[in-house]
Amino acid sequence: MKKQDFLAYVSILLFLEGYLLVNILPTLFGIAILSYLLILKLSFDPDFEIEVETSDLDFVETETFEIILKIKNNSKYPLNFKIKPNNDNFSWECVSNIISPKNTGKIPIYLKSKSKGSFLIQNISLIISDAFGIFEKTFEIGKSLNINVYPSNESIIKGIQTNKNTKLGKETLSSSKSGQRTSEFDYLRDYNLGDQFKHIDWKSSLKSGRLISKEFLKETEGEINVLVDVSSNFLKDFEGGILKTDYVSILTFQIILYIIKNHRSVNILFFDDSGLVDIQTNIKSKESLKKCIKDKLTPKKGIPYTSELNTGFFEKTAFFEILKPFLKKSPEKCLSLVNIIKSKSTAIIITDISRYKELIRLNGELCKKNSKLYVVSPNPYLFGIKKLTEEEIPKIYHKYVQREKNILKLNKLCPTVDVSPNDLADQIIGEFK
Amino acid sequence: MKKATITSLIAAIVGGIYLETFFPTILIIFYLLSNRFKSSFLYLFSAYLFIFGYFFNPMDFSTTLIIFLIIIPNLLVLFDLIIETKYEFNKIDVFVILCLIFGIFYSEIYIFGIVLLLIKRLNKFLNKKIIMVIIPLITSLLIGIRYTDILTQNLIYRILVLTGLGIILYSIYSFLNENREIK
Repeated sequence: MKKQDFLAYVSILLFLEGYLLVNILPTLFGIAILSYLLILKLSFDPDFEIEVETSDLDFVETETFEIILKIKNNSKYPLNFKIKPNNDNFSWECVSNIISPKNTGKIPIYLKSKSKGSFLIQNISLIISDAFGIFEKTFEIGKSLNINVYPSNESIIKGIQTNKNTKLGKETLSSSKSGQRTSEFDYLRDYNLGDQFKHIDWKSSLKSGRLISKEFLKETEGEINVLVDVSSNFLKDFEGGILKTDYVSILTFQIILYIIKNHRSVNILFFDDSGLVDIQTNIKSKESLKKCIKDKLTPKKGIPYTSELNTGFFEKTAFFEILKPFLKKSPEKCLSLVNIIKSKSTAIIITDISRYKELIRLNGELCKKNSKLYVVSPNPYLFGIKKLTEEEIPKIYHKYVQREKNILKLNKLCPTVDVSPNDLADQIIGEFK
Repeated sequence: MKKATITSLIAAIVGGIYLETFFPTILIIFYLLSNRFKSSFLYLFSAYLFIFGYFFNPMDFSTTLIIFLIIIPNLLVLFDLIIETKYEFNKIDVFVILCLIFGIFYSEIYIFGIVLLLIKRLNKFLNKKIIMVIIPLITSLLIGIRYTDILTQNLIYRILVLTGLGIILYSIYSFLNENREIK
């Protein structure tokens, strides 16, 4: 509630109190407050001149930059000036300043960019209030600022790491290249930042005009575990779209088959929200693999839950936190898989990215065991949605963008790939032939 | 604790003593905790006003005396604590404090001091032309009420007339606020 409204209501209540208690004091208090409000209201008519002072509008993303507003108060009484933040791309730190009548004061605005790019701050708004902070008016300065924010060195390094992890994730998915490098040459590929210089193939690099690295065959030291999500939420299909569950089963089959070919044996762990469902160890042949995943990946009824699994009831209710250990199904139960995975092994998890908080924790736990985690996430949006209305498109777009951000976040920690029905089609068809 | 605002506090306490109540001494707590409870100050102060009205009933005193000894000092305290700038403490404040203290013996000196303080406070922050119109208007209205027969007959009539005045003020205020919203 605004201060002015609060004081007006208080005065009305004071009148009531005066009448009920047959006391003149509260009534007089009420009249005094109202008179004060009225005088203040009639006096409040801000008049000012403004000038924007900026030196340079090119900044690095981690840098805090300052914009100074030079304001001259032409009113007959002091006014409090404050900037109203109007651009979400920046974190605003605004200092309010009281400027005496006929005086000029400076108001600094400290801006820190949340992301990189070129931003236009349009119509900076100024909140002007009286010295008591009771009445206020918002004015638009009418000046726009075009600010360029460049990436910092740290973010470039992080971005490269993310990009490298994305590439690595894709490579892992297609050929399951995990394990220790041997001296036996495998194939040539594009140079990734962080590759050793001695592995650059200079002849091929000169021919192609870009840096080419040698890739060597790798041997796996520890076990390979494939963690397959069989929770009802993950295996739901959009009505009318391409069947995601079928694709997930083909993808799982494909990945495991590759691993069997390259590394002889694999452990398959099926899990859902209640924890581990089934475990099949030491799978070595195609037949045993078929038997193992048969009837495990069947479509479930309902529409996929596309937003984050942790939101809503799971996160907002503090009561749920207390109940978590006693519940049969909770998102964190998949963390119990960590105990089954041996140290110095590799884990490939096939699940939805909406579990990203648990995935981050899972990755952390596995890192403690010197194990690696690779995430394969079928993107539910790419499997088609039958009914698309104009209202739903922006919502789906925002969810998709959020999903992309989560993938980037995860890629900073472990290789993560988001897959669609078109991914791996060639390999899968080739394998079935 | 802001040094310059002690004047209003002294005025409120002395005014209270003159009307045989020590209730305004509670305001010292407001001053001491003004920085800590800045956000909830208005709530606490309104609670103070309600409680003050509940425990203290100045039936034996005239309306004018109540206005000058209780209402104006308490309102000045409200000004001091919600204002975002600091008042300058100068010689006039010393003179006002002396007037207030001597006011315990002679109420006229106290009234002179409190009027001086009110002018000093409002002078800097409000539009002078409006003060010149509104304050004499309200004062003459109160004096008019003071000398009418209705008021001397019964306290409840007095309260009703004053409430009527308050409602007129509230209507004007609401009208002005509505105008602002349309713009």
